Amino acid sequence: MNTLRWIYHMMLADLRERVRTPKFLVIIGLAMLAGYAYIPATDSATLSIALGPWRGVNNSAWVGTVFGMLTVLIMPILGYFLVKNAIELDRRTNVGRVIATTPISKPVYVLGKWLSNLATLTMILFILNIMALVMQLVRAEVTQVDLWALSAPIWLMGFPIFALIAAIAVLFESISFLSGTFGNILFFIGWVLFLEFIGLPGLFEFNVGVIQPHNDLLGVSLPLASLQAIGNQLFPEFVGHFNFGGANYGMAPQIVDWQGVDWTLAYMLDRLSWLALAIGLTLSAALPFDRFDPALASASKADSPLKRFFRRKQSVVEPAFLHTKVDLTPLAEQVSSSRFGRLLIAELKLMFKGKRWWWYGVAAFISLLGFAGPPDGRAVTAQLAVLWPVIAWSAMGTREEQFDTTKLLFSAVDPIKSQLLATWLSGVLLGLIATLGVSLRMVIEGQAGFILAFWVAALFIPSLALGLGSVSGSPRLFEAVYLIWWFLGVNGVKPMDFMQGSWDAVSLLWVSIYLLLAMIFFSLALAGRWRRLVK
Amino acid sequence: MKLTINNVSKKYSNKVLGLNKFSLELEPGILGLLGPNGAGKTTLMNILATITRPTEGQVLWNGVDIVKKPDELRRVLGYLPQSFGVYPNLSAQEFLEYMAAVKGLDSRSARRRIDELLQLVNLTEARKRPLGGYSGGMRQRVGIAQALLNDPQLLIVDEPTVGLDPEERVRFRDLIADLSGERIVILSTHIVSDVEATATRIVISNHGRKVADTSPENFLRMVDGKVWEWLIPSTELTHVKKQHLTSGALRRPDGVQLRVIADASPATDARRVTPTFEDAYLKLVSNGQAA
Repeated sequence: MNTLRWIYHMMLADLRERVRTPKFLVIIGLAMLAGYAYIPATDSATLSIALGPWRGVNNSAWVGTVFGMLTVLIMPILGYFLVKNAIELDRRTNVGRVIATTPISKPVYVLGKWLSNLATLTMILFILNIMALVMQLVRAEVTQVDLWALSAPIWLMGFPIFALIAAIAVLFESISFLSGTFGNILFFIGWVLFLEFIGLPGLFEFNVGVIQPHNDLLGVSLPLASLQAIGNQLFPEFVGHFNFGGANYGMAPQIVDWQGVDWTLAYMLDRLSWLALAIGLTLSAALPFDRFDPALASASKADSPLKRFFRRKQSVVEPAFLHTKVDLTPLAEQVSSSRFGRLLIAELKLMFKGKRWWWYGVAAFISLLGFAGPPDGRAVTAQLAVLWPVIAWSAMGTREEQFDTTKLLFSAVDPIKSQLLATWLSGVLLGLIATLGVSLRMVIEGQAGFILAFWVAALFIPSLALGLGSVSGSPRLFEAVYLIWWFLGVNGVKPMDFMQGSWDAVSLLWVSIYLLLAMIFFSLALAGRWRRLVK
Repeated sequence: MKLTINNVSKKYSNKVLGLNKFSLELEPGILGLLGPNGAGKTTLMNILATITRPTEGQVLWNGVDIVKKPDELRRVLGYLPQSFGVYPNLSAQEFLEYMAAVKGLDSRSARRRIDELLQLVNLTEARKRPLGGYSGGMRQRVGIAQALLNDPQLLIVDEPTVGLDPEERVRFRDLIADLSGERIVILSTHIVSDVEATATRIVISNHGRKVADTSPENFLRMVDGKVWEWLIPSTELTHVKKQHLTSGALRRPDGVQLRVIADASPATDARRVTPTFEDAYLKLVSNGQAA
């Protein structure tokens, strides 16, 4: 009984803590925005679920299914970034050390954290459900509301996925090398690969024929089969390109009175079975979880086996605080005129410090590939070049908060302009260095125009990192937004493609828009820092 | 050099008053700022360190308003916050190099200064080890080293000895005393013995207000002749404690030797004893009145 009580209170405390953070509001805002965008205006030619030039009338079944798809295809990424801090919070606040002294076992702790994550994600399901209702009434094609038809797809499809995401977040947090940005990128790539090859094969391809999930973890097979059957009947020539969000066939879509599907008992039981996997995954997190043992944490996080080997030979004796009289030489001048240059170099050193050899290795390989690789793959290489450094960019603007150095830095000279500018510029330089290989190749091949897009991307990405970091105080919001942005760009959503890899020629309009966005996000960072200084 | 705090108040967004019309004028020397938790010490330190702004009042550094021109003070400010972190992947040397760049020191001065400071806090041998492996005491030493990087004229140390072992605490006090010289040092703490050992001037704050501003000698005079000790049976301890302001109770085989602060003799067998800082502090904080 005590265990249940403890889990309940932990869940409640975590939920309260999370819903009171700006990050939660931002993610809820994004969810609502996505919900709004996925039920376009009734006269719009844009389709949210596209299996040919038709759509369902905006009744409860159709709106609920669109929201259900949104829940399982897009929201898991945002959800993961929202909840992947449950153990970290206990670690940072030292509450974990107190918990470690109680009889709570590792399996119970990770299970409690899973339930906390799930409770937070369930809040998102509620909000999406309400948003679905609102959108049906706003679009008002069918005003009669069938609550079951509206809500069932969201909950039946979404809840098991969220349970799994909650478990993955706990598991990743428990494994030292997956607990940071590297794990986040891995999750993102893993999720995309899962969608492409297992969950919804053909999602990112054209003319794939019938779309049939190899494994129905997403729970989309039932509604998808019904929708494909209608598509085949109405447009037999359509060969199965599934687009979720933003397809436009250049004609007014045919509107079909789709009444949804019968959510069978077998389907529901199948969905329930995924909860068992989620619980299993959560319990497996108990094995690598260090239970806040600082010795285990520092050994696994900071040291490679090679380092540990050499460390044994070093003296680990703590030098005593022998207060010896030392005459401190007075400084000739208090502040040097070349301060900014030194500050920039210091920021760059800080940005690169702690990165492992393989990080540099992969970066060098991408750069080399950009310079000497096949021309066909150049666009992809350019995109990879701005994906790999995300681990360094994501620390920008939040490093002070993460490592509690804010007071030291804010009491030094010019904490707003010089310090922030130096941090930003170090991020810009990182972007330029990362794309150096592909840029040089472009110059050699006389395609220098694209370098302009790269330069603007190098301005835009660190601005986004600083801006979102200052709003949320955590790197995860930037990681979530940037990875989704990058992914949509790579997949040909042209406005999101800041590297312009999918464009035939450089669009100066979009270069200008991204320049403007860079300025906006940098201003946001300036405002955030200023606000913290004066509050 | 002069630091003037003029009627400074700080109201937080949740309407809590962190500081209430606080005034002070400081010249070189060590000011011991004492007060219980929640007295407004850290709020005052944050304002003086230009990390936060006062809601009312002025802080002047050599006549310059630091709210309007904070960099005037930041150039000559050394600050050791109550709690601070370090970048765990950097070594002490690298962290100090980074902080020197942030503070605007030129390369040559920074190098020499870092060497001297690492020697001063006895971290020369450990200078290349990542800070992530440092103990709390060693990190605190890195903290004081970074505060001294720019040879500050105003040195603010907020609860510097919390987390240090007794020996380190003594060393730290000696260091602060040695560093005072021609600078203003503000030592904010709730550990009375830290102030007793080092301060040339004492200010007590409580509930965001200044309740005393005096020299160490006058501070003790406030309770001179008002501190009493006598032996009572241990069964009476709770009862007597309720009646008098108690500053100490020492168990003995024949009872409890009680130390109280009172204007008149609390018992027929009570004898006057020499007051300590702890007695004076307790008296002031419990009264909450200006002496």
